[in-house]
Amino acid sequence: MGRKTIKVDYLARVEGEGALNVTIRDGQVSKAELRIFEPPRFFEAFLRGRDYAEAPDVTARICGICPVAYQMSAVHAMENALGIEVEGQLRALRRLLYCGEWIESHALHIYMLHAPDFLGYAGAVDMARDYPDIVKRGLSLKKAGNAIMALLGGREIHPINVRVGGFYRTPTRKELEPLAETLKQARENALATVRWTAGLEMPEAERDYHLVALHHPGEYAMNVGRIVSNRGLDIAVADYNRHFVESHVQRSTALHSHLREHDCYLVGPLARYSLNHGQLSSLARETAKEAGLGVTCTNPFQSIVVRSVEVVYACDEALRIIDEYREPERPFELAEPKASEGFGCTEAPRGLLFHRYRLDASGGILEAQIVPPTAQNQPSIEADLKDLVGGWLDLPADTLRERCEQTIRNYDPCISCATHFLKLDVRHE
Amino acid sequence: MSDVSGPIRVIGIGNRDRGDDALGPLVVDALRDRLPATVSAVEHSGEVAGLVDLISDAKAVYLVDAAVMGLEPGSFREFDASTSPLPALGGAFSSHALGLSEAIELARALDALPSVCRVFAVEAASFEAGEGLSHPLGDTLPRVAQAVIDSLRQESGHA
Repeated sequence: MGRKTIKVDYLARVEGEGALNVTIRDGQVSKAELRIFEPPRFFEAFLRGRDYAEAPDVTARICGICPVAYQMSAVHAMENALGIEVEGQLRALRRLLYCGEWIESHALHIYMLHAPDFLGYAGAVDMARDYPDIVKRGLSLKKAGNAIMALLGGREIHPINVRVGGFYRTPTRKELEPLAETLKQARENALATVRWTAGLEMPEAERDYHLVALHHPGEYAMNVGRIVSNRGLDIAVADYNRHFVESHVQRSTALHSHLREHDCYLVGPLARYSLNHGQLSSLARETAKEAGLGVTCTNPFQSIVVRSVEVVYACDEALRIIDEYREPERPFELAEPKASEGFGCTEAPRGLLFHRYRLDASGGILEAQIVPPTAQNQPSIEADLKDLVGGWLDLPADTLRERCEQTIRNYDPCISCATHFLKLDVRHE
Repeated sequence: MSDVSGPIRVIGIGNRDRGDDALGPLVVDALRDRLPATVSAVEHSGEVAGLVDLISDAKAVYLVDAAVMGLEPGSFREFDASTSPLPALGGAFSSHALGLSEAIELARALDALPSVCRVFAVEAASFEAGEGLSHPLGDTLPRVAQAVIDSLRQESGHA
């Protein structure tokens, strides 16, 4: 058997623009390259010289799908730099806001972007013609996430109410009450989503991943924790750069992340679930068990089921926070600028999102580093393809190409988020 | 979001802080005092679930969005989407990753598209964060607002 190339020039149903080349030589996959060609967005450079307080709003603009993740990593990094801790109800409200983003983003991915792969449709519109009630359920679920975002964030996309030290304005108990009703209905839809996704036909594809996620001793990690892995990594967020490294590859405007000692790794729902399963709510754990999931999950195609379980958890957790909510005395803690460096890491829907900032004495940003989940997962996406495509070579060409695209969409890659500014150093001698 | 109560809606899609993406919201601003009580002017981010809702429980919708159609910046096109999809569906028609054309087609697939669905698309020059509306789009804005008024007058007998 000679050389064969699978080429996908435009990857549909991912955020941003990307392409894929897989080369097969003598029945073996010799190369799998995900090319990202979205123009770099210069956000890290754009932040330099701005005030520390601007970072949450500026970084929220990196992505329309996961703005809260950017805000949360940014505010935590700034608070780490300035030596303040946000506790009590303000901390709980931030967790509630993040629940909104998980519900919104996961529902979009499950119903609009990924489910059509499993049911053999080109996209959500075609699927809606045959499964109108399923798609309506997905839209309704997504709207419940939007409702949290709108109430706490000030608007559904690119929220504006988060600030270093807390919020500009906190809600009253009365304002949160209608949200609880919306979330109870959403939880029913989320449970139905798990049962439905569990019934989808899954390709057999267990992978031996190095799973990396945040872990917190007292809660399913979302906003804070240590960075842990299934192979013994256990580090503080501030030590991220000692263990992880980004490098440029010519085919892509996104940087590739690697663990210094172990090469590629996986962040996102499978890693979170497998490393923190015991901290899910009992309802989410029971639902996962009914769906046939074990305490770990390493079949990338089952990420659609794991995301659904996380939506159940996010609804449950949001309801708990609303139930226990007491209006805080003040909406934020005051921060005093000082020359410092700070680190923040949170769990975006797609996985670990790391921010680092260096500030001058007046709070001006001297340096910004943002490592989004898709850049961290890019080598893992290529490794999946290299590992899995060899077993699919008997499939017809179109089916094989679709399976490759589906493999990429398992990750819900956000290519807009993944692009970085590549510094060009020209020397004249 | 502004008033959404009217069964006839003008929906300006976009983001005020992303260059020419502000066109939709700014057309809504320009129209707000010129519309009768039965027509509401609504600003929307383009988020698909919310947009499907806004479209599908209306009697008529007039959607305004900045777009990438390969025309000169500031050129605008008016489409009747009530009977057929927008051109270049699935491509980079709208400024939103999963937005206007998908929302219209989802509403159609769910048998919830109103009988009047007109789209006013304006070729954008830039979607850069923090930049204001570019000159060509600033010049086009009053013409787009007037075109929406004319269309409302023709099709619904309103305005």
